[in-house]
Amino acid sequence: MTGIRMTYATAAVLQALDAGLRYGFDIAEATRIRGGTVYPMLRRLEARGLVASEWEPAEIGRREGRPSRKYYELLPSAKDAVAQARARYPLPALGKPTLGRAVGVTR
Amino acid sequence: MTGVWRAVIRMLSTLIEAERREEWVREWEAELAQAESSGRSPGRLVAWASEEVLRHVAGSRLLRAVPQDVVQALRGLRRSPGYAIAVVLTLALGIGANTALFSVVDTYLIRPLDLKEPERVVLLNKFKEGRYGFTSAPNYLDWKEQSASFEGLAAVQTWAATLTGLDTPLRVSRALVTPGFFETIGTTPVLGRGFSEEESDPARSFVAVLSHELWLSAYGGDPEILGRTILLDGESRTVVGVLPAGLKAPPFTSSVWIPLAFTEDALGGRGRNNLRVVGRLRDGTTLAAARAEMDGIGRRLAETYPRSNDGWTVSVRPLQEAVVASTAKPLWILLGAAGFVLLIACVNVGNLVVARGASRQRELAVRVSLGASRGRLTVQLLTETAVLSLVGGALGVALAAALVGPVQGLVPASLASMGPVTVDGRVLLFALGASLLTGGLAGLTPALRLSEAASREVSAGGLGALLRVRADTGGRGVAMVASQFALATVLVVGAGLMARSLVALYSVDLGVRHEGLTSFGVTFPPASYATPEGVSEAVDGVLSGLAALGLDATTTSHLPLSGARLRSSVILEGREVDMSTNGPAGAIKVVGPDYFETLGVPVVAGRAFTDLDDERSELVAIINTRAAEVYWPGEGAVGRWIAYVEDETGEPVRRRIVGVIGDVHFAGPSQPPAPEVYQPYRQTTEVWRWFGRAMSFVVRTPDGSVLSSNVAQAVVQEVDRDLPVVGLRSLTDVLDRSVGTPRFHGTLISLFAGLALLLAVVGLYGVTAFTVRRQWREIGVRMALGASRALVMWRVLSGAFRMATLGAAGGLIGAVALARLVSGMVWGVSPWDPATYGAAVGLMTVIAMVAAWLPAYRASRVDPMESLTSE
Repeated sequence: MTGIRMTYATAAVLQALDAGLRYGFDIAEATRIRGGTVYPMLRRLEARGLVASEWEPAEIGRREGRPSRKYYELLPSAKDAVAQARARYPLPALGKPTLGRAVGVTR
Repeated sequence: MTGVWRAVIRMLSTLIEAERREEWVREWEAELAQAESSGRSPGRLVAWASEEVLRHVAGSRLLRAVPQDVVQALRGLRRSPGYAIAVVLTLALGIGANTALFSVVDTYLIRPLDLKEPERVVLLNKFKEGRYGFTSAPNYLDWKEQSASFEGLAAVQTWAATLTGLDTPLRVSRALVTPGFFETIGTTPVLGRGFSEEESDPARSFVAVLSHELWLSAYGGDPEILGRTILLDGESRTVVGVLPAGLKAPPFTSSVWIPLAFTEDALGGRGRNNLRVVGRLRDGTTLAAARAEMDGIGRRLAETYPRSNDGWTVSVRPLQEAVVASTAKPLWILLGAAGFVLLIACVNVGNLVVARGASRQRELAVRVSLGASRGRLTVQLLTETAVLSLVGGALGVALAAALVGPVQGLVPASLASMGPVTVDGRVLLFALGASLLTGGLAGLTPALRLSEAASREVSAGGLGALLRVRADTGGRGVAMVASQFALATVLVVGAGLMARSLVALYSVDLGVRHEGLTSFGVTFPPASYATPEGVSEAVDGVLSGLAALGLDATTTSHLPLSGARLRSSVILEGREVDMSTNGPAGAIKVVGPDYFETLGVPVVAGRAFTDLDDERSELVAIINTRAAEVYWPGEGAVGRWIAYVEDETGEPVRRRIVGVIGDVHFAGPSQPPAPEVYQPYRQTTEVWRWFGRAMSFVVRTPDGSVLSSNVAQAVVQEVDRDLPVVGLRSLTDVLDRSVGTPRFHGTLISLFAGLALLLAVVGLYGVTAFTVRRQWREIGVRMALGASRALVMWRVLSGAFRMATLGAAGGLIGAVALARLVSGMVWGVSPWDPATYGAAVGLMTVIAMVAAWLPAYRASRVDPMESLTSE
């Protein structure tokens, strides 16, 4: 078991991350779940060890003339949780599935 | 704009634990920047961030400790009861004033009428040049036939009637309604039924529906009431229904309901406007669509029947809006005034929290050193204020409940007809909300500042440094007191304007003497008093009965200042015009011979009526000065004739004018005198029925006291034991009622201004005293260096003076800006009256000096030796 409560919001966020969405804002928009739910959820998933967060390298921000953003990625440990999420609340494709890459199959 | 959003994010971050705070801020700022560069709403993002913080706080240890904080807060407050009492009382006053007024606003403006889908019930009026008018039967029938917007339209005529056959005759309100009325307004009888179509046939209309209240009071809630016969104005009617309790459908609220049958005569008179029309919008039809449709119908009717309808359109208004139209704005303004009081109370409480915090810095510092986070301290401090504000709120509700009675007594009659003001669940909810908001407003800033000061000092200099910390209230205290004075000044100006209006209203020479006079009314029902002679005889009987008791008595169809009048078109000698056009008009009144003398109305030309002006002599009339000026300007009126319709034949009757009397402010002091025509009661033709066959008797008692109602009742029942006496009161009381609305506004706003002033003064006193205490040693040094006591006192007083005048100046600007709002509420004084504004500022300054005097005096008594050696 993953040790998280698989609510609709959790399932949607997991699937969005799996689809390759990396920023809170994008996830909130794609899943139509309120950002006030998405951000705390990402932090919770991170605390559970299912998601990792990282700051963009500063040069990307500089290049685009904005502060660098924090992005989130699924960790290999989330594989079961994602499968569970998809089984419980199958969502239409939120983007290209990237779990393969994220869990390091190609890496 | 970005800067504002960032500031909000930073403010929110104070509630996140310190170790995560920086990262949290950085992430949201980055998202904010991203949102803005991609054209998405930063506001939505900030809302998300707030939501996250709220979830965080709600789920965190911060709130889990709240019960413990509450216990601790209560303990702490027990240790400083003075502080607790000051805060609770301040809030109780503010919340009480607001809750009391909210209960008024809620009762009359917010709470929907207790009808089925009340939002669909509309009132239809004829409308011309900003005036709403009743309509006539032919117009009503055309509206009904030509419109498609309504599920139903019904017409209503309200009038008073006498209910007999009971132990004592009862004067009741009676409404004549077309069938379908009850369905249209959306109510169903709890017993029996409403009226059927056939019952609008005069031959079959002898039925009645009773209000729940009348059923209980007059018939003891008799379960067998259906089918029982009642005697209404001498006609027997069968009760077919009883309406639900507490049915409020002003302006139709009534005790007895009977079917309205249109007579041939009514159907012929398109200009005879005596119907109110109510409608129920069809499901899905908007108000705008109904208005557009009725506008078209109104225009068509105006074209087809220009004699009666020219210039008139049809207005369609939601019933509730129509009922409260003229009273709504002042009530909202008064609620705003009460809000000012609450704001001032908030500032006071904030000051108290800061002052108490200053003496608790040590405790807070110890907590920080022991590891309490800033969020933790903030929550704890807020809990204390919340506890106090809830106690204050509870006390405020009690205060409001106590105030509702007196406030109810002041409510002007137009509102009072909608029912009594009550403190219900919604009002309690309002009080709870107001308490929490007040607690939050008053407590948040001080809590954040105190907790910040404590954390900063501990991290900068350790515990030792903190023990020297003091709360800094210098500049902020001045700003707070000034803002209180500004708010209070606005209210004092408002109260001043209202007071001047009332003085102006009361000092208008009404043209009548009202002192020492008592009036009461009697109505002569058509069944027993079919002829004018019958009525005259009965009036004679009552007058001689009063005279036999040694009382000066007279009679009139329309009591001055009661608001009642009967306006009629008149034809004038030498000015003959068609009566149906907008020619001259006058208010027709029937009076007894001694009327002018008893009420002190001077006869300025010709003569007054005498006992000889009876049915056998020439028909005569007396007009007032205003009428003489309007009818025959500069030509003299005595000896000319005037004519108007007095009976159902519609033929004008000529009367010789025998006198001109002084003007009377008949409709109340704020209304200019209108043309009036008086006729002697013994020459009264069918005109009786135009004013409901009701006469008022005016009696002067020897000692000027109010006549006992038993005496009046006995005299009247000597003439006819079925006649009830109604509305017995002193004429002075009648005058008071005519200024009921301005008095209601004036009393409330004065009350609020008084409260505001009190709270502002307490605030100024508190801050001044606090400053003096803080500067104890500095004052000592100054005095040691040679400053005189007078100088020390002067410094303190001038500080207070600065705060007060700064605030009063701000308040003046606010008052000037807000004056437009009250322009409809004041009379006889400009909303920008410089004298009132000046007096308000003067009052504020003087009061500030009085409040600051004690701290200033204390400061001047500082002993330099003592203050320098003590810590």
